[in-house]
Amino acid sequence: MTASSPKNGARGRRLGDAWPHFVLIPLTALVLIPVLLVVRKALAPGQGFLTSLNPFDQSWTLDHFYAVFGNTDDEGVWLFGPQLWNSLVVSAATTFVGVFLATTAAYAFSRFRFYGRRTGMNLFLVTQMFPGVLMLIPLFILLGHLNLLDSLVGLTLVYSTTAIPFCVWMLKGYFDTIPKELEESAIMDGASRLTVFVRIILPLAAPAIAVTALFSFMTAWNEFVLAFTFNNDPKMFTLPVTIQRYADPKSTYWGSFAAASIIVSMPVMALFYKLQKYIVSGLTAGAVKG
Amino acid sequence: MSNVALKQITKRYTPEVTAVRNVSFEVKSGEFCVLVGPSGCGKSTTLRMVAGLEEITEGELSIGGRLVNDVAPRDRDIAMVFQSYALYPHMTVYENMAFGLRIRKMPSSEIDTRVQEAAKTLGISEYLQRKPKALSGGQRQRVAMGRAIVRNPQVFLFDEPLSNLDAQLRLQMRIEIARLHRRIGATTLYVTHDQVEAMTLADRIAVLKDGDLQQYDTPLDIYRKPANRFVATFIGSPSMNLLKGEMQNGHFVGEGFQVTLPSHISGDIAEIGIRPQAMQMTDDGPLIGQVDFVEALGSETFVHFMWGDTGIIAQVPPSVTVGAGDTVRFHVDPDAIHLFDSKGLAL
Repeated sequence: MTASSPKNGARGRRLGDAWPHFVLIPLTALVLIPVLLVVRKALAPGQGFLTSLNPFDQSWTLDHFYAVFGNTDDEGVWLFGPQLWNSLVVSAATTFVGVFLATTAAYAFSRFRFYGRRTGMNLFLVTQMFPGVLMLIPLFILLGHLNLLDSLVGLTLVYSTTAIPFCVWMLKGYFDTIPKELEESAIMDGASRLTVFVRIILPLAAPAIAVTALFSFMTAWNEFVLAFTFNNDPKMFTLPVTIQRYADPKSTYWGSFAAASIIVSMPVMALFYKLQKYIVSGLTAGAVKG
Repeated sequence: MSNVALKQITKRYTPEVTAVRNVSFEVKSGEFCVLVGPSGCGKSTTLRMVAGLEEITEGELSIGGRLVNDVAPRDRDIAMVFQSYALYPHMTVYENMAFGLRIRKMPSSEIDTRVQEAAKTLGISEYLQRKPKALSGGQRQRVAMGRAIVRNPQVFLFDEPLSNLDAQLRLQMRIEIARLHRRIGATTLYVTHDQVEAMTLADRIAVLKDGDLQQYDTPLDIYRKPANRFVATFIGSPSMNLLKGEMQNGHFVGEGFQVTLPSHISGDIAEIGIRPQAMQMTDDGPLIGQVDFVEALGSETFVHFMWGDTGIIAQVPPSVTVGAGDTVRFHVDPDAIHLFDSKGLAL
């Protein structure tokens, strides 16, 4: 019997480390096929449906992107700009309202002991058990009574309320991990509860807040069913509704559909890219012993 | 600097759970008081009540003659050093130390002077722009102390500040804390479960057990005249030997031993205590034991043996060579014997 040399051992380790890649690379490629199909279709001339991923079998064009950007209604009024604005406003407002309320609520749930604390958290959890569509009709009636149909405020309110429970749970979990001594130390230093929250807790919770903000933004940015139901005026559409309009009952404009899908995906991808360091960072390192 | 006076302080979390019960003592201005006791004795709770981080259920707490029961922590002019250091991880060392001063809207030139001065005192000037995560445990502890010093408060509170450090660093920091206190002369309350820290740092020690104050005195008086068997065994290393027995014709007789007590001693003596250091090894001593095992530490040697079911430790000079199974004889000065009644109180 011979002992393996260190070199052989290292090679064995490298092979051991590499095997997940053999599994993950084909799986990733498989997942990317639909995305590549969309990209391929967005850049291929014509509105027909393509199944080929071969980038060389047809010519390239940006016509579909121009068509989406220049989309107008029957009277020639430009629609894409206002619709992009609608999506941005609703998503940004949802993010702001959602994160602001969720941060403050989650801090209270994490740090204070009050009557109904557990019940409140459980109620938040229960709301997550039902699909949002279930609330479609009640919300429609409610918004109708409030005169908020065909309005961005109505959509923002609905999106915020659906995003908040998840955000509260997520942020509370993170606040729980921030050592209480940090707050007590700041209190001994003379800080008020608000100062502690703003200058100690919020900076430390930045990763969680970033993820929560991303979630809120995506909830609003990608949502289709509620936006499609509550807003009927094309000037009040958000981009997901616009995309759907390319799938006409008579004929589907696959080229424009694909181009619009890519345009709509861009901001979320950019946000992911920008916030990725927060998603993986551990900002509390070095806070306490160790 | 100000004095800190606790008068009949009680902390009750629920009707059934009382963490601190009727604790009264006064830390005089500039004194270093150590609260010591085993885990769960209420020492940290007492400190947190002084800090204002825990509400006082009953009793009166005064700082500098002012009743502060209902005064917010920020208005008590107290600085606290936490066991976990509690440094703000997103701030540099400088910002950590300046935080409390900025909150109090002190001019930045004054802040800078104070931070630089404290950093120099603690030897952390070169780390001022680092974040806490880039510091070692000892450096973090110094920053935590620096954060307290810059505020120049009336009272310093330390909550087991050295328990996260290794033994060598703990010794070094203990000396630094003692030096710092001598230089600043601030009224200090210091919590620890380490009786050596308590003995070496304190002007006065408050020994707590199960929420009750057992004794409040100077370290030497606590060592020499412990108020009860708990204090007697808790303070001093190794622990005091406790021996059960009864009085017979002027002798205290127990299983495997007989000790002569001073003639004037009387009363309900249920137990006697002999410190390992009071056991003098002699060739003709009346107390005889068979060595169980020996701990030779170099500077001193501890001999372990049994009297009946009771394990006894004796400290002998390092020059003495004994081994397991050897018979040893001891003499104990009657005046060095501590006497306890059936309730465990010192007589």
